[in-house]
Amino acid sequence: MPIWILLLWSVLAQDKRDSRDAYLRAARDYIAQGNLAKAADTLDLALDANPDLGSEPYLTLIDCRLKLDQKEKALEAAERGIKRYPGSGPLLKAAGAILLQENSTSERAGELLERGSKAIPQDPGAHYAYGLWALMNHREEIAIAEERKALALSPADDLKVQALTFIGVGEDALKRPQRAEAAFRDALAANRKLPNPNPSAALEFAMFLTRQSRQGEAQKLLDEILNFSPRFGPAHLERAKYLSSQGDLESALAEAKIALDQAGQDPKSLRAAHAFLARTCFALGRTDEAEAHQSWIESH
Amino acid sequence: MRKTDTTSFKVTRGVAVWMRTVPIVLGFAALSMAPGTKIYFENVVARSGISFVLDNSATPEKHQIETMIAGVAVFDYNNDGLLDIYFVNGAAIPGLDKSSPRYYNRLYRNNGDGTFTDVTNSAGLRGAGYGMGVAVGDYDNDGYEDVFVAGVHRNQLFHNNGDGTFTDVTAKAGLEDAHSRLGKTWSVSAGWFDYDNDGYLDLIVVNYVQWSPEHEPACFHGKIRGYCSPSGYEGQPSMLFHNNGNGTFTDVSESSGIGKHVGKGMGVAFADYDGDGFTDVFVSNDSFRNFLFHNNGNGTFSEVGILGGVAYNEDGKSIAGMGADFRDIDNDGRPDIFVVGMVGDSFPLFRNRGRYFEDITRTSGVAKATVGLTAWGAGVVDFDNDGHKDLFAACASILDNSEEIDHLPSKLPNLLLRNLGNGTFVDVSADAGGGFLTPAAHRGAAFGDLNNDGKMDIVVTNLNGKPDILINRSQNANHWLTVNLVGTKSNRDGLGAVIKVWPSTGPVQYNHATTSVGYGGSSDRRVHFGLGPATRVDKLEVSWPSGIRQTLVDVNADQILTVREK
Repeated sequence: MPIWILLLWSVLAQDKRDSRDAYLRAARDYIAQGNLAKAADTLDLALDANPDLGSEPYLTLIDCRLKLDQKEKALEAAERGIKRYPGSGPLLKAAGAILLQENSTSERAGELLERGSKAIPQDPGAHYAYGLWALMNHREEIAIAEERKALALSPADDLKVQALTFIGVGEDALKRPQRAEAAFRDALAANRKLPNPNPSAALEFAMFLTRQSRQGEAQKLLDEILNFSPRFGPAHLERAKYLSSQGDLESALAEAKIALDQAGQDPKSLRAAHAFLARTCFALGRTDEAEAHQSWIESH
Repeated sequence: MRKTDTTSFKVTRGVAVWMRTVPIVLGFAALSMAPGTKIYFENVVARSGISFVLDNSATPEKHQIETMIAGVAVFDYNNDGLLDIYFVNGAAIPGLDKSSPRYYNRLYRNNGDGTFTDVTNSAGLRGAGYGMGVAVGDYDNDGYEDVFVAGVHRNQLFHNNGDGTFTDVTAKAGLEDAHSRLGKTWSVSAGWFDYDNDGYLDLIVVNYVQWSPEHEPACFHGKIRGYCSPSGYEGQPSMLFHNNGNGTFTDVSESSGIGKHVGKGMGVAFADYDGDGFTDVFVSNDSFRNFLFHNNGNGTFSEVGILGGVAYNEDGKSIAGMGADFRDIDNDGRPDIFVVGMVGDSFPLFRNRGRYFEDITRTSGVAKATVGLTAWGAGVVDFDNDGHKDLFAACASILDNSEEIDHLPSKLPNLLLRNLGNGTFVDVSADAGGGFLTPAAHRGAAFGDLNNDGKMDIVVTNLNGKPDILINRSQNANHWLTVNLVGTKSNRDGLGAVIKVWPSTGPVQYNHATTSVGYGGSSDRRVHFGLGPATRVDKLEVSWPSGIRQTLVDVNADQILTVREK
């Protein structure tokens, strides 16, 4: 599950829930026992029997289904809940977030998240999620405004890091590089305060600096990222590209191999690393290795 | 009719939500150029006498071919020393019928006074079918430029008779038959080059996807119909035809290896990237990896796009490749590659390092200027004659209703990136004149010096509109040299010849002769150099495809210099 959705769900989890209902108590017992499947089935039965139990059972059901990796059922539960409680901010937010994760261009996700942000205007997660949808759908001004609302409502550094990074992305998209840089810098400052700094957010700043043809600063930031996240593959790949541009192909190759090792199962990271390795091995005359990387790309 | 909402052509920002990479719509305020150094163009179409309107025969069915047209050529068809303009046009859909004058391809003769005269009918160049791209080259070495038009299910070769008329010789040349395996092809681009250095121009025809109006999928985003993504169609391989030297061609697609690679071809550009004396081929593909065909020198090609580092963007991702140009941007003697794509892609710029290419899209500043844009035509041309080739992109969305579907404008202004000579480029579009401020559905572009003033001009086609005729009015004291090659042992156009010049001041420069530039376009075959402050070229060296190396010394700047191979 991506980092951002975990953050969303941690925000969702802050919603107050009514536990007066017996079904809910039973479901919570199952949850406490780690039996999420049973908890979800219990909630489904309860909601079938009485759909008017309030929004909370729907939210719990969504939570269970997501933890069981049953996204379709989670979404189904969310839509059922919204049908019954169309003004429920947490439900709107949950349904919108699930849809957004499945399809970043979903208009329905945007509609739900917008309604959610209006229904629960004091919820930073609602603004964060709607802002993220807006950013991904070329509505940068909305994105920036929503992320700023989220920032104003939450002192949490992890949200701050991501929201400010999204603001940086949005400002850059709007051709306002100075504002973008200010946001990225604030994000980096917040990031440094985290017990486990977010390397992805910091890398966005490094990429921004690279695009500004400020490779020196970008490399310095990459050093910092690799210092706090030594096994963060994407930073190794960026380092490899820099070394290659300096003509140091052997060192570039070594860095790219680390990036590949750290890519795990992420298809984008794997692909980027293999593509770089294919080219670099070929440049070094290691044709067999190069062709092996090429074969991987062609077969994926 | 197949209805689907899974293949609708939807532009996604592609913000990687877990923040691995976030493609960003970037921009960069245009540098305030000092007076006198600004690149500036005037769009003179209104007083040029050119009334051509690119007509795609738009239908509610959103046939894929509608959004893909069309290319344009600048070439001197009557050898009066002035570049004329040939526009390719669409046809009625679904019959692909071109009988209405609104669909004619159009040839405009350059009158030399800033105006043009439509000579289509007298020249016999109205064409047939739904046209896409154009390639100009003197395939029979008779001294007159011939015209190949790539199109939907029909390609045409027009022989220049030398008297202002052309004859359709497609069948006689052996180019009429359908593809042996695929049947009728949809050809988008084509290009002339002499792959075996035998003195005759060969022809590559770049095919896109399998398409027919009867089997057009219906693609929706929600309830809105849009053009389909290329993923909804089967790709096609390109075709290579060897010039037999007697007016006929032989299909060598399979034996050469070119036909083995199925893509979704869009642009084609040529250069000898590894300096082995044989012209190599770059083909950009739409949402598929780009191809780099290395010419093995024995009639075969090896596809080395992945190994060479030009198949994907920096993230290892295929882009929606459109137009391309293959030129030396840093005067190191190694031709580099510039490709344009669609929003979110950034337009890749690959720096040639000899055996491989380095993606410098981000570090060069090109990414920040292009990631929010979609473009079709492209060119690497020195517009301000400062000795550094600049980048041009003819921009527009793929969808004509992208406002509804993507919340993005369907019409875009063109893009001009000035080469600062230090490995970086800066967006100077905002200062480059009206042609760079007006959003339009730009498509193909061709480059050449229309008024022979030493400054490179641009012709850009606009979907369902008049073209831009962008005359370069840049005011500066820079000097220039344009070389008009006449091959004798090599092909008469000298295509493939590499020219190296040593200006009296400033660094050594390189360029080469090619007409294949951008998207379905054909540009001035003459080879242009901006010389900066140099009033003279100490030495000029032409490396002809024949292997002959010819040197001239003490050449004055600011002239069109004809060099005959000897």
